[in-house]
Amino acid sequence: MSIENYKQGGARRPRNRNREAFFLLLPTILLLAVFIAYPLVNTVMLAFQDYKLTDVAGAHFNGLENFKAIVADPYFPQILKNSFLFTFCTVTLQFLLGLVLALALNKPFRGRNLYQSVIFLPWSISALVIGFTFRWLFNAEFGPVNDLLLRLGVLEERVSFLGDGTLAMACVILAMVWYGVPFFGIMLTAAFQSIPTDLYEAADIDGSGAIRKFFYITLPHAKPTIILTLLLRTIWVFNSADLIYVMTNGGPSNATHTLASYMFTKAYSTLNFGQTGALGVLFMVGLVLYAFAFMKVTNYDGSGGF
Amino acid sequence: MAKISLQHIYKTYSGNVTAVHDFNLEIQDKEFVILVGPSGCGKSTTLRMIAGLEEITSGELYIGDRLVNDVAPKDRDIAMVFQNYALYPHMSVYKNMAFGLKLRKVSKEEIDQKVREAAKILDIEHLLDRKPKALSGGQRQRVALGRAMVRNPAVFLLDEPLSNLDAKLRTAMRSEIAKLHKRLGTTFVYVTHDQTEAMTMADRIVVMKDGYIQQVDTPQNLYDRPCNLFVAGFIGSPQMNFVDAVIERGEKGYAARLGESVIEIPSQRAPDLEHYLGQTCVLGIRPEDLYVGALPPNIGSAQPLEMEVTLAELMGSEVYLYLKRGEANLVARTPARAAARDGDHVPVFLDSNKLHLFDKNTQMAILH
Amino acid sequence: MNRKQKRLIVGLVRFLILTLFLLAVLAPLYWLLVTSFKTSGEINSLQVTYWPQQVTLENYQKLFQVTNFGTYMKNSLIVTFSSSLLVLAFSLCGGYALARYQFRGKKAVLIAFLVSQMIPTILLFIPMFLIFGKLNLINTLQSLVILYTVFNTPFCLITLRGFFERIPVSLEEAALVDGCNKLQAMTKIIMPVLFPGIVATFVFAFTGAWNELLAGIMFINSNSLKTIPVAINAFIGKYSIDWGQMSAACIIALIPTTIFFAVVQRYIVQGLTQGAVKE
Repeated sequence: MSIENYKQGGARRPRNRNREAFFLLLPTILLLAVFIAYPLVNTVMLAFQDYKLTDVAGAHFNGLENFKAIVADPYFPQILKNSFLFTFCTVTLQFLLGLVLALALNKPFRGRNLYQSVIFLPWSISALVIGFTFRWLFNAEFGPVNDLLLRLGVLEERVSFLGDGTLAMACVILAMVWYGVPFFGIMLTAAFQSIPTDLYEAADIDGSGAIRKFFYITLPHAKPTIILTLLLRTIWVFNSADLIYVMTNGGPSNATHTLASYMFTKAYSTLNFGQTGALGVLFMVGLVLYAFAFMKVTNYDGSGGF
Repeated sequence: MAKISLQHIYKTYSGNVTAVHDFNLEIQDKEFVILVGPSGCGKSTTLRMIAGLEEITSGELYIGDRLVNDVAPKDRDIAMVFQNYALYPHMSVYKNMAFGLKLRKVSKEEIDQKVREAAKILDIEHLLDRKPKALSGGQRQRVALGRAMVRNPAVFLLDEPLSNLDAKLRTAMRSEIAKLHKRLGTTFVYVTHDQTEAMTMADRIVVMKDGYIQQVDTPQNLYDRPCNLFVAGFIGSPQMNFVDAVIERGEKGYAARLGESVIEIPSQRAPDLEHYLGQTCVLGIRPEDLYVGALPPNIGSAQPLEMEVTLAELMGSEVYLYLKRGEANLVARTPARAAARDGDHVPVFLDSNKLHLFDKNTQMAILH
Repeated sequence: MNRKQKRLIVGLVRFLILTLFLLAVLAPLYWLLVTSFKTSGEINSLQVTYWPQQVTLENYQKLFQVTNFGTYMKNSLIVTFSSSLLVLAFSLCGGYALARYQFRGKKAVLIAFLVSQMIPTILLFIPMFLIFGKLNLINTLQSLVILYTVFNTPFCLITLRGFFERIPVSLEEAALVDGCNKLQAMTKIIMPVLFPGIVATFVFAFTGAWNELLAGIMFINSNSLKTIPVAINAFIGKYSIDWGQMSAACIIALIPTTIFFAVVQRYIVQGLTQGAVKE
């Protein structure tokens, strides 16, 4: 009969299994360090230089000149305003329509899988195609939107949707909403379907109506998904430049330019990398603040994901 | 077909958490050894070290005569049954069972013969073409056993294989596993938290707690002669009663005093208790060694304790009486006919031949 | 109103909503498809038609005859497949590490991935332009392969990690005991079980690369190296738009990704929700 032995052993050094994890992650870490982290540092350097690709030899540090130029840019306030308007309207509409879609999809029906496949399609399409298609839909002369509205008697004469600042912004938002609703719909449907049915059964026994059930069971349970999706969509929409670039290229007269699309145009057409870098730094500052807020709000601990 | 020798085995995780302390055990060939203990006691870690799924921090592990510390699991000649069965979901039952043999380049005919033989023994022949998803819990359990069997390994490792089954199935599988062990004639190492499983199946039981071995012995000896308070309390259901008692000098040797009553300790059993005279010890007595009402003949004599019945729990063939007197609470297991009602005051006799005494400080057994 | 009537009305409303969403999704795509089969005369007419008066393939023919659309398709396929396979390789290794190991700095790695997801890609274009300039990679397909791999790896890696986490460790251990070495356990057991995850990840990476426009514009100058989106964009900019030909090009551009999404929709939804819904 052996009795417990309290002797503390001189244990050999434990072999390090962490090393395996390290080597598996190393390629990715290197990739991101070289092609994301290093370029970001580079952007900061550029922001304080007079660096034009047309005159690389003449590049030199110029302090805060680039930032001053941005602040002095007469379009800057409007572009900032556009960015927030675009992001806010797009995300709000995407979310509300996605919510309606998810609620309609919540109960099973024949062909639901097929329906989901079709409704999901916009999310697989490139911004280029979407931008082109909506530009074509809203075409002033040959576009079907004008034609249909004329036939319905809503319009008296053809309207140049993309030629008017306010209308153009509305069109861009509409295209972006079309692109993003399926994503919200799918995420919310999945969240709703993970709610245990016995909660609803209990609510039925208590005599709760559909609206009460929605506010007291459905929404609270889907809350983590909703918050996470909203926050990530917000930043993705804010960052997206391609759709605007294709549809309006920021026009007419900067009415639809956002910070992202403006930055791309500036980099691509003026080749003034110094000033673009400064814009990038401003972008990054906002991003860091947002990321902090994000982690605070979602309690992000790495256990979830994107 | 192999003995296993664990010598001074330690498992330390980074951050200095030691899961297993100085584990020493010789498992004989064809023996059925069960590691049992509460969760976190290190029993699963020990099993996984034998399997090679967990690295041994220090110490030596032999399977047969071979030191296997640095041998990969696949080369240890072992088979393992997992708690969640771990069947390969993309393979049919047949392929699940054949997988290990196929890896070892066994001929197709031999694989087929072995799989069908095992399937026949386990009564799963009709399931061979199904995917694991289409099986019930009990059926999956059999497939997992079959997958281990066909390999004809030197050692069978089972990690809580019955804990995902319902109570009725668990009892049935218990006897089947015991039968399987006899039939295969292979060394079995089995981990469970359920002392009933351990008691019913094992040749020898290893009781563990907090990473230390508490006691290693046959089920009968473990039940009759637990070496400390933990083992005494862990093995047996309902569990052993513990009450404080003061050791005194008795008429023919020593006696234990519980409040007003004095229980003579039969002199032929008593070791030297001189050291404990006047001290409080823990007295242990199993529920079946308590007699309520009258003392049957040829049972060690003792003064009865007057106790109140707080609850009578009818189990069918017997009754558990929950008894109370002052601070002391006891459970007695009595025949159903000897019914006492709640609130009755009854005389309770202790079989003094079956007393256990434990040191209150070290918790080690003094007498059993 | 009794229960039956109420249920009928709710059902009707639901049907109406679902129909509206379906129409909203399909209408623009329908318009694109119809345009691609119209003659240019019909397209450029104030009398808007909703079904081609005369169905024609001339837009598609012109696309391949007048432009180098075949070359653009080839470029797109090369870039997309190369970067998707690279993304998959990075994601398999990294996703496995994050799912199966506990190590110091794990949380930092996860947060770094999250933040890298928030960085707008255009922010990287300028420094990248200078880096690629030094490496002589500007105006090469390799530059796009690198960029698309970088852009898509974090998201795909985290998605795949979610799939790995759903596979019980004991499955791997059973394989090890059964006679596999680590590599065999991966290829014979984990990979087949992980199949939906691999498909979803690949489709994410594929779609991301196939649809990317701005980096292509920034880094590709030669006509012979343009990818499909870059080429289409160039047409839009250069001439007065040939709507029919552009529509045909767009239809071709969206075929691979929409087919992917339709076929493996279930896996993709699984991938998305696994990453995003905290469990």
